[in-house]
Amino acid sequence: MQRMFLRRVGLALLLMLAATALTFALVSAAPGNVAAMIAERAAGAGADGAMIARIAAELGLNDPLPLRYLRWLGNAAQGDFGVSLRTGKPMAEEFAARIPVTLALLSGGGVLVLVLSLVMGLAGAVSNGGVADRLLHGLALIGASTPNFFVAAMLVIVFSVWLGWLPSFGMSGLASWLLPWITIALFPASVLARVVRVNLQDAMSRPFATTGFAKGLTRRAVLVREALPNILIPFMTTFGAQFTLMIIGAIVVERVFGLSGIGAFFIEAIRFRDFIGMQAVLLLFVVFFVSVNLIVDIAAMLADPRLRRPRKA
Amino acid sequence: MMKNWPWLILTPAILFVLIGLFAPVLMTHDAAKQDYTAILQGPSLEHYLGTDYLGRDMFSRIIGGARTSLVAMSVVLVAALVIGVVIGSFAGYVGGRTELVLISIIDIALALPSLVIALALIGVFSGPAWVWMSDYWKMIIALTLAWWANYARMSRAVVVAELQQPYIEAARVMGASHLWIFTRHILPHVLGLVVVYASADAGALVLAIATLSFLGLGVAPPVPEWGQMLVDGMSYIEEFPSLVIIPGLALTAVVVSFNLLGEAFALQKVPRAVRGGFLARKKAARVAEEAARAATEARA
Amino acid sequence: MLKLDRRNFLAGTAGLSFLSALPGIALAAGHDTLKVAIGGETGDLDLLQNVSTLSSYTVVFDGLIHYGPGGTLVPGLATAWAVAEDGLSISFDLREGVAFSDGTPFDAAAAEWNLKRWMGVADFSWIGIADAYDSIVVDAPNKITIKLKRPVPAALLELTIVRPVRFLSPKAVAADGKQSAPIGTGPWIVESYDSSQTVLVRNDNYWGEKPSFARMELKVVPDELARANGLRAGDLDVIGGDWVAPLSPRRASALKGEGMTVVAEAGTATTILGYSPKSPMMQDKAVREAIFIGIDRAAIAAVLFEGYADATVNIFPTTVPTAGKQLPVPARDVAAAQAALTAGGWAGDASGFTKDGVALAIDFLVSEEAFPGSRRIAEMIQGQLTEVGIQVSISSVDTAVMHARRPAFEYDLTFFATYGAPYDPHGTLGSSFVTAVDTGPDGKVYVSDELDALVLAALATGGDAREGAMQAVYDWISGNTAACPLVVSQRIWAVNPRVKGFVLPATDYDIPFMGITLG
Repeated sequence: MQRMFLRRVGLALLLMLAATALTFALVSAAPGNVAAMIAERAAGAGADGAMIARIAAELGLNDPLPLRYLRWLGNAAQGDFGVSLRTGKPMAEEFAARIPVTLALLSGGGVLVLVLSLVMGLAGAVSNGGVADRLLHGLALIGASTPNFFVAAMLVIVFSVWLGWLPSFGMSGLASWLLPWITIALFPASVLARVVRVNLQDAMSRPFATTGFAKGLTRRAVLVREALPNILIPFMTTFGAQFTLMIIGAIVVERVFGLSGIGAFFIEAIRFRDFIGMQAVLLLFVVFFVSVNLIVDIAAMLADPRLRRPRKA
Repeated sequence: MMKNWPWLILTPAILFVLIGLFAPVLMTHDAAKQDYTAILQGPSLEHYLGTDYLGRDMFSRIIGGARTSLVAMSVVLVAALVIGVVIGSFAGYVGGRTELVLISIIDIALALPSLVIALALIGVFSGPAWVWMSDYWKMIIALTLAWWANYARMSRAVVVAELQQPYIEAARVMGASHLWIFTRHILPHVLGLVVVYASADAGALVLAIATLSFLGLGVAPPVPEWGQMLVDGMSYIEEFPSLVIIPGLALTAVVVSFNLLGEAFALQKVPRAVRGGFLARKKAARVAEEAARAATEARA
Repeated sequence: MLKLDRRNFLAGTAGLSFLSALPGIALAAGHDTLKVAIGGETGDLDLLQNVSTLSSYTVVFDGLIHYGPGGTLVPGLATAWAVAEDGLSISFDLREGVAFSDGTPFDAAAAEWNLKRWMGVADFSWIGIADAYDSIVVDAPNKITIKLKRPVPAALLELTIVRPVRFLSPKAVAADGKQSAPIGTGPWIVESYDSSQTVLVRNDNYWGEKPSFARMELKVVPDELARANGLRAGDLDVIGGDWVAPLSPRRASALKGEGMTVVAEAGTATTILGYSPKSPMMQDKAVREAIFIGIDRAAIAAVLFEGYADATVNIFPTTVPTAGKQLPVPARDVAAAQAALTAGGWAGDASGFTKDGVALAIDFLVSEEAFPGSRRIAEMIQGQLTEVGIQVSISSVDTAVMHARRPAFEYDLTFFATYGAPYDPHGTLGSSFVTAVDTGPDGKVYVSDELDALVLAALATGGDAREGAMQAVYDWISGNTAACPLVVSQRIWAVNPRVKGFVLPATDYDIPFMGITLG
């Protein structure tokens, strides 16, 4: 059991290492003169060839790629992610300022996803083929098909432009987070609601449900007491997968609602070819993605004894 | 098997494909033609969906946008599918160290969400060495490189599972070549699953394309594209929300239709346990995985 | 500069609970606070780094001379100045009794220390007086003289720019000489800054007219729609300014209709379509002429700028000193454009032209980030030139590619903008039309040997002859159709009705607060 965990964690670490190496190679291979961009930042229009060459030498940009990767990784392990080419600030500082914003967006959105999906899925199962079930199915289908930037635009039109109830941007109190949270939660909540609904249906045809009915429990009681605990594992794994995908949602939502988080930074880094910023954020994304998957895997193992036996794959 | 298949469900997706194919015929105006005397008009008999800020016909731009999405989506889907099936099947069929290396590569490629990879790739492609390539093709290549790994993983899983079947052993004993065994016995199974997955994936791709355009990393003017139209419309959102709503609805409608299609496919083609509506593509992948795992465990 | 080590970083991020992670919970903003939108965070306001937004410096730091309306020179930290007959020395009487906001007195020693941080330093050779710098003489505790190696006719205008010429407290630097805090003599003091806002408090010891309110919050709102909604909702009081928080003409129209106060004035920066001097296609004068006359400037001003722009064919508008004789804007003429092409040896019609088997197709380099709004103008021009028979493909690139391709002249057409007040006309002419000056990523509007000689002569000419020498430059450019000016966009600001007494700041690099009272 313990060895399984260690194996899992080890594999995750290896995967992180490999993925960061790949992203590093990818971004470094990008033709583009980092030195020229730094020179431009320091001297504005005054940057010239000699200055660019000097900076390139100082940064070791002429060294072979593997050496540069190891140096970068070593620095990153010590909390030094380089200095953003776009903002001129150390990436550690950018992270310290921006991660809380993205975290607030993701956690608020995540809570909303949990609540919405359980409510929608359960309500559908309770209605079971009724009008509410079909309506919710349709709603989930549309929710999982609408681009989040369109959702954001519609929410802004209705709640900010027409009604003027909620701010359309920025981070000024709880009210300003509502629209971003709804926007980022709609897609994963719709997907997860379907998982809840379909798995509840499956569970209701299992023996324990029949036993429950035999004991004289109502359908609703069987659903909540017997079926619901049984969908924990698919619920958790899908939630994990959707939670990691919310990073993409964050990229769009932060941009639309003017939240200065990691996602907004990433897009700006791409557009300004801030390679150092891109690399640091990709590292962060890899760590986030692999860790969430690891946590979900381990949680699933703990929740389900059958999954604990070692696999020879 | 296909008797009570809900054929109706195909209609919206087919409609989208037809609109995309016959876009030049359906367009009532040149989608790029500007008319400053007719800017920001409401719907009329002349302009069914009104005009945009340069007086261009919105109806024709929506139709043109369907073509843009359709072409990009099809190219990416086919390319990702072919690359994925080839690499995945090869890994599964050959086994050994080659398989291990390929699986590692696939896992690394799956260590980040596809769209994040596509975004990073577009950042890389924006360098001066790539100026000869249009933004449209940069987007297509970036998406393909970000999209193939899922297909590879699935294909490999199916191949490994199928290799355990007794009839493969029988065919081998009878002296059939690897190529014969692969194309006759294994490939159909691979394609069966992968195509189901792809049908629902089409919606996700249309979304990804629009998202990239929305983020300013998509097509160049004057090619009409829904995500870009939506961004352009944002400047006029207070007074002319239709500039945002029309492309947004078009986009949603297409994705809904592909998700419905994926759901319908899933209900028929894959085992009962997989019926998860439009979740089918995720579940199908997992089922294939489970099959492969069971098979390898049996082998050990 | 704040440097985080790993432990701090981990503790800082991991220790945040969900609720405390909601950043920027609003500070109660009273009637004594003006909330101004800014497009990007202000940064640390380091006077020597090209990172922080220019507009934010202006409220904290003063220069010797300030730029007044229409290019007039207004006393700043200098109460009087005199340029010597030979142009080789400029002496200043420094304002007395002024102190930096940390209490350090502003005197000749502080001024000398500040000037020496950039004058004669290679990184700032793009500023004429920095390049021509010889020495500084302290004549008295409140008098200094700058000595130059050669005359710089635009010297006084150059001293009105923002970075790096403004004055920092000599105590506000670290041991390595890097700026450690934004301490100036200006009307405002930075209380705090982060990625969401910069908070300024009134400098009650300011030497000039003090603002009527005690606090100003510069709110970072990158999205333009979000800024407009912020204004509507009362979260923002002032939005606008090309270098502060651009307000689009469309949005301005919408806001005006809703009762917001919109203030617009003729601008100082010209949007110019540049022809690459290295592109074979663009070396053909007929093509340049066809494009020049084939573009509908009036339509661009009316449709995309909603009237908040003025069509032009001149490099500088009259709001800039020595802008030269203003030529009238010709109406768009497709037939004339086609005739110009035919006269130049091109054969064809609206469906396309060819010459020696080569099709008339041009590459239009556009970067929405480098030049917001340019994609749409390019789209419009593409449509107009297509009607002439010129095929235009738009390369939509990011800032970095723009910065690589523009100086290498790897384009046929691309956008330029003149710097506007307070940099012009010497700034744009001296950099964008002269071969020898290294402008790094900004590239050149047009360069040729003939033009070089004219521009250099004009820039070195002072006094009464200056106007004529400048006019020679403008005449050469229009005579050779060397550039294609399009429009001068107006300066647009929108303010909440609770803000009284709003007047446009002297330049779009300034943040408005003077004269404002809050209701």
